[in-house]
Amino acid sequence: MTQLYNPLTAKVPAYHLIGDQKLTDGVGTLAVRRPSDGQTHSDLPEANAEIVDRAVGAARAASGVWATMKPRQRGRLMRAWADLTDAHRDELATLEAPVSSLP
Amino acid sequence: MATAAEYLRFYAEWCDKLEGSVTASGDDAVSLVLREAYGVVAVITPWNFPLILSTWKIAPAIAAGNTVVLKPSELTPFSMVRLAELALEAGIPPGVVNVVQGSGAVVGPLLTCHPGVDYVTFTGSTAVGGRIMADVGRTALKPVSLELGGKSPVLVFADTADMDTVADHVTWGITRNAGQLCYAGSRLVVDARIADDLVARVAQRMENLRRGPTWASGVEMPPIISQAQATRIDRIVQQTLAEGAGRALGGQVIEEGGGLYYAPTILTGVTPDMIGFREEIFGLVLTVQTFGTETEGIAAADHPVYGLTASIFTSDLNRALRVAKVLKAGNVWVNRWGRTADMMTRPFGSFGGSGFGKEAGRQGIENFTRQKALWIDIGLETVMGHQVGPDGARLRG
Repeated sequence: MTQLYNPLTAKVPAYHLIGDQKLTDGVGTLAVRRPSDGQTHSDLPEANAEIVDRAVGAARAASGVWATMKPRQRGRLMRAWADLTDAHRDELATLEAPVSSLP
Repeated sequence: MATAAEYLRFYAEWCDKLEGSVTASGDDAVSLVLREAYGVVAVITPWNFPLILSTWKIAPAIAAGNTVVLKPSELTPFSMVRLAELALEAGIPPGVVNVVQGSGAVVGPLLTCHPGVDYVTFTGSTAVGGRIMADVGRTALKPVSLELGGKSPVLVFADTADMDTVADHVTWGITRNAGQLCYAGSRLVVDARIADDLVARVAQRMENLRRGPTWASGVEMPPIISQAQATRIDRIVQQTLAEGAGRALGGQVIEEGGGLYYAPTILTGVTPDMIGFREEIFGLVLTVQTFGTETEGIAAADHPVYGLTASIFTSDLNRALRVAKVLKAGNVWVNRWGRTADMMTRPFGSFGGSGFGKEAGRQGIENFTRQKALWIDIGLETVMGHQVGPDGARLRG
């Protein structure tokens, strides 16, 4: 079988994303394993109450702008997101496949 | 990936197509039913299809005007963070899509019970779904939608035309993602007259699957997600065999290259008292039940807990519709097993212990809206049979 990509080379985004902030605070870290070879792929921070509180706060703060935006404009931004998702297809696959059961 | 992007596009189009309604009110008032966003939606998703199952929830939730906090599975946490970063790059305001990491046991209740969260949506096991409802019920009441486990029957009648096509569907139904799929067609319920033939065809397809790591090409049988899952699958299989089931294929864990696989397994003569019938296995294990009459087939297909999907194979249209109408399942397929991207137009959801709330289709976005009934008195009065305005002038009648 040919190797589709090297599971070890992907730069792993092991953080929370709150608003536009990448955060790694929390109660500790978890080890994320690769089911295909049983090895540890990356550590992962585990959120605590403060991190969850900040995330919910960020969502609440964005709620006004987002809910009152013209619906057609919301749709435009979502389509732009979909286009970027397609453009980053291989990158997303190499982030997902090593730690999941999905080729 | 392609499906996740298509799903975003599907709900992008729904942003300006949600509608409320106008109800009967009489001439002196206007009655409107408005749809509005809940506010902040907590999204908790599993490891088996991380991007797709997360997008299934996030796309309709934000299309309706909600913002979300996602907690992906701690086993597969990375792709969704990147997807959320792409939302920012696309111009979606910061805070609309947030991601917090951690285990369901620690972070789950912190998120679902947070007073700032207005709605909770979860895909995962029936046991955890129940725990989420209990947690939410004990703290602040809020709506919960759940897409949970399954034990979905594939019901095959003897009048089915092409047994090879049926065998292909049955095989795909249990081997997709090595059976790690909520709507896996895990129970073959087949007319006794054709059972041996069909089981042989399925066994032949299942035993030739190529197994390997998720980064190799041509893999048809990916690994089991964790040691705990492998142990659980094997425990259920061994207990079902001990309870009297037959083994047509497989029945053991295979370790290879540090990964764990479950040998493609078919258990025959499975009856409702066996653990292999009662519990969701979430692995590459097909159980077989046989029946004589149509009524017996319907009874065998029923499950006391789960009601996610069901497949019916028959050449008789009347029979297909008769059976489809009585099966306890949120989704019924005739002469096929499985979803395709084309099915995002219709609601996917469960009956019974498989959960509630719909995903996909119009219902999928309406799920993330609440309805506000607005009644407006417009200042018309009826005086001596005439309608008059606030200044007393006669307007009509």
